[in-house]
Amino acid sequence: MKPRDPSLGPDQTADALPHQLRIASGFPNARRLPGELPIHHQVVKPVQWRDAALGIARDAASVISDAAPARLIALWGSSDTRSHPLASAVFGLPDGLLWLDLPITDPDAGYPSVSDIFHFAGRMQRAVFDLIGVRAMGAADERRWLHHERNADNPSAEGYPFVKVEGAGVHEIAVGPVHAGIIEPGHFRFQVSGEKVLRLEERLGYTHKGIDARYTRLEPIEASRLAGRVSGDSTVAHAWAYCMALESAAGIDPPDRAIWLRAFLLERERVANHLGDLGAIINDAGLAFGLTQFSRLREVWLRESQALCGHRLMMDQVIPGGVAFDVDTTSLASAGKAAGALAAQVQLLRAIIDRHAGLQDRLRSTGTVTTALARRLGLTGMAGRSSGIACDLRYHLPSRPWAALSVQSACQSAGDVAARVTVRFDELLESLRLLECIAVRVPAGPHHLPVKLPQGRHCGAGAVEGWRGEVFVGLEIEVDGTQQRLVRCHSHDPSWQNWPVLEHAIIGNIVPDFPLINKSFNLSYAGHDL
Amino acid sequence: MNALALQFIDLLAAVSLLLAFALLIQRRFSAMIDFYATQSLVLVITTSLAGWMTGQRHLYLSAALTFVLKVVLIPVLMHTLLRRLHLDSTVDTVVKLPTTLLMGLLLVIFAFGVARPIAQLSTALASGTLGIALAGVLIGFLMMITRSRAIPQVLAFLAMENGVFLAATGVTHGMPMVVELGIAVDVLIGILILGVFLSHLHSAAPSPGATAREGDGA
Amino acid sequence: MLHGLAGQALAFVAALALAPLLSGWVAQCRAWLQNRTAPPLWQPWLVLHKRLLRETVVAENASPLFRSVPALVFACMAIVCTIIPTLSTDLPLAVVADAVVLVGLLALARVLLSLAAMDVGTAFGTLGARRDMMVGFLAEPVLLMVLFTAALGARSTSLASIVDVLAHRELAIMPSLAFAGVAFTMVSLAENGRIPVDNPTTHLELTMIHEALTLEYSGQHLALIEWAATLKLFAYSCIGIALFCPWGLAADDTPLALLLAVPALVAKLAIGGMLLAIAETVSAKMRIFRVPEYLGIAFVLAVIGMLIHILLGA
Repeated sequence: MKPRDPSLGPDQTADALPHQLRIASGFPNARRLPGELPIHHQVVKPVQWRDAALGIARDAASVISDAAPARLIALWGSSDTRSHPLASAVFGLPDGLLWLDLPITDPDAGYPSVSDIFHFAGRMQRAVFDLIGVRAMGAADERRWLHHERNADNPSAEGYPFVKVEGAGVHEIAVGPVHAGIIEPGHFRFQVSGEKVLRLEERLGYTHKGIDARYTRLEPIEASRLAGRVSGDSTVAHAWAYCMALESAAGIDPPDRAIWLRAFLLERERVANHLGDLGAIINDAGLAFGLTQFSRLREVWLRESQALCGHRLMMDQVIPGGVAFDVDTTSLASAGKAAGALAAQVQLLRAIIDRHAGLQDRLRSTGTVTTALARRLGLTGMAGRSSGIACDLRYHLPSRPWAALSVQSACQSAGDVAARVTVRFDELLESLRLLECIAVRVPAGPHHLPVKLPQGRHCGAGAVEGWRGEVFVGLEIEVDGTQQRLVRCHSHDPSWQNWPVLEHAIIGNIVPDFPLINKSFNLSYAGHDL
Repeated sequence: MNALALQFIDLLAAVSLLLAFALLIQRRFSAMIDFYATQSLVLVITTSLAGWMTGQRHLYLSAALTFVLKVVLIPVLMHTLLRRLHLDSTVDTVVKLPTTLLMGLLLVIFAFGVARPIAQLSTALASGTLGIALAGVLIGFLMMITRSRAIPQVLAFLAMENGVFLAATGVTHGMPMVVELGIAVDVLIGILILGVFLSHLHSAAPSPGATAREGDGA
Repeated sequence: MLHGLAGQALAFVAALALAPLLSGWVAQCRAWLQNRTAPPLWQPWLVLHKRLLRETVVAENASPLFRSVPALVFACMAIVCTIIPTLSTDLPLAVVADAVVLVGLLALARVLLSLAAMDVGTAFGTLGARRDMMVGFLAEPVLLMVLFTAALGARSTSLASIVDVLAHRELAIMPSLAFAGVAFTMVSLAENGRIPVDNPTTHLELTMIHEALTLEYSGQHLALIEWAATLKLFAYSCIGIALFCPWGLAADDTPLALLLAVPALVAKLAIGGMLLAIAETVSAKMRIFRVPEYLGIAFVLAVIGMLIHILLGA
């Protein structure tokens, strides 16, 4: 796929494929939620739930076009003492996002499973059972996922029934949940024959904190702080998605300046993460030189973020109604210049890395996820774009300010570690270009509007293309007089989709390449375990 | 002093053979070009040294020509070609590398065996140079056979030509100037034709092998 | 004879003292080359000191083998260091072991460590043992070839005699030694667990080769093993120096000559360590299935070196 002509709107492209399932034609009863992104909400019955999934999955398999592929974005459950438990799913379609709510009238009867249609839904359904006790009927895998202590027989990792590979010379290597480096906990069970990995099974959930439940006990305005702590490396994306959802529920429109500054922060976050990860990937290939160079660039970058908004990782800067900080024109202009200067340095390092024969030998054809496999498993975000799945919210559903910036989405088809490195470099340079543009084009005006929540119950949703992929937040608020509360709220991190793909990416590779492959995805444990 | 210089020429010949082996086992185009440039540099030093030892002025000219052509011009041209055609990819070999390596070893034994009686007849220069240079030529041959893409094959041909020059320098104090000039011009024209040819081939019908890596939007 | 013993003792003490410093120097150079602030030169000594003071914890199911291996490995490396001519070639102990025994001692240490790693029965130890044996059985022939190439010239396999001949012959450049030198460098990198074969600074268990063997050791055991590893690097550096750059050794056994040989050795080690750091900084770690290829190349080069020596007499 070539980068699309930016003058061509998303509707024109989609019109070229009239057979494609769209929200407008396929789900006429869905209600468009207020807000800029076309997110539609519908309450469905169990039959519609499965039919919708089937229809969207058929499209995902058949359509190869420049439009964003039809996909499942999130699936979660929520329970409220005053009403039936709900199963919720969010799908991405070419003309917007579709949020389905399925009230579960009989918790014992459960709800229809879609894990046979969307591979990674299996883990989400297991998590739903762990959290609200409602089972997905017809799911192949019913093991516990998040709540380890509820594994009836044995709560420890040894008691978890891992799938074993039988055969001569096959043995098992268990890694984690406590790792040698300073990283989050996760358990990996390898079945290997010699150095070759036959199977990898992940076990996550060690950092489960009950974020969804915690939301309901917080003031809606205050809860953006919690949203910003779902996954520390994507704090801006998560906080923005939460604020977008709350603003959608409240029906308010944040000022232009706030939106542009949010985009400014989001791109800074993307740059910081790509810088850090590129260094780490290169270091895992044994080239420590790359780590020190990229760490240095990242450190300078983070300090500049601190100078601009008062926090290195830009936590708590995105708040409902706008942003918590304001910058003057001179600081913005110098930040834009710094972005340009950084781009030159990154280009230099990229040339060195591209020319390093030993390094390229490590990266090429390591951890390959083919486009077909990626489509089948629902790979998303940056990793998806490295496997030929061109899907980028900034590009496919451009809202303010992306529409004015004509974002160029990076895409590679090889799907190996080298492709992910290339995509990271491309996105890094594109983000730096965007930052330069944003720095000179941030409109004047207020950077914050007070948020007043309307009376009654309202749904709201927000989605942001974070550095790892689509971050989605869906919530429902209830305002009764001065009593404001979140009835339910869910933050979804793209790590949910991509963790299962890692299990496939390593198959057939050698054991010592796992850290390298893992780092090239760099998925979040905290964002997944919630 | 002269004996030391003779040994030094032997050493340079050995380094040249080492670089031929490095070329033989290298997987990446750009690294291959760099190795070729280094090998040519070794040839330049050898030729200059032989010129200094024997007092033949024309060897200096030959060294200068080699430097301009093989250390600077051809590698730069090849690098430009790689960049322009986005060919920078791994080399695919017909035979597996360890096998190639073993074949290389056998060729070296063969070359040394063949060269020994000849070297004993000649009293001109270093005794080992002929064998080592012959081994370099044979390694070049092997590389041409075992590589399936155009650029490594051309590099193999050039490495072989380096071996021939080395043998000439080591055994007979270099070839007549006319011959050297002729070969130099031939090689240059050959490279230019290759460049033009490849560019046209690429723009007319990009081969799947060359473009598979380029990805989509980059 | 007395002077010989004194020289031997001095060489032994110098090896024990300098080996950790050499590792520290390489780490320091690496840090500089990577634009990092370097740890002090004596950092390995500080680490050894810390480990020696710590309590030694041993796995419950460890056999006596596991407990005795650190001392045995250390002893092997110490013996290796005594038979390499570092300061002078007059080594009374050199008659005990020649170059072949030297390779044997290194192999013995490797086998002991691998057995100990498998003894406790952890997945990482076994993984590391398997990988280390693979590197070892491919590396040993190369080392032997290199030593034989040098031994052919001296007509003796005793390291002291080889170096004696190499150091005191007329200045001659031998192409065979160029090949042997490259092969030796490649095999030293592999044997000492340096980049591109292994990464000594990694914390990722799945990628380790040499480090995985020592994961289960702690306290004084770990101190001995780490000291032995620095001795191994020192021994390899000294073999390299002795074979390819033997000048500066003490000409006779007078105490003054021996003492003068120390700064020469330190200077050569410093240069060698710097070169090692440069080589490690510019290269990435290769995939483990490339290691046989890499050592295969080293073997071919070593054989060619020997062929040049035999067939061409150079």
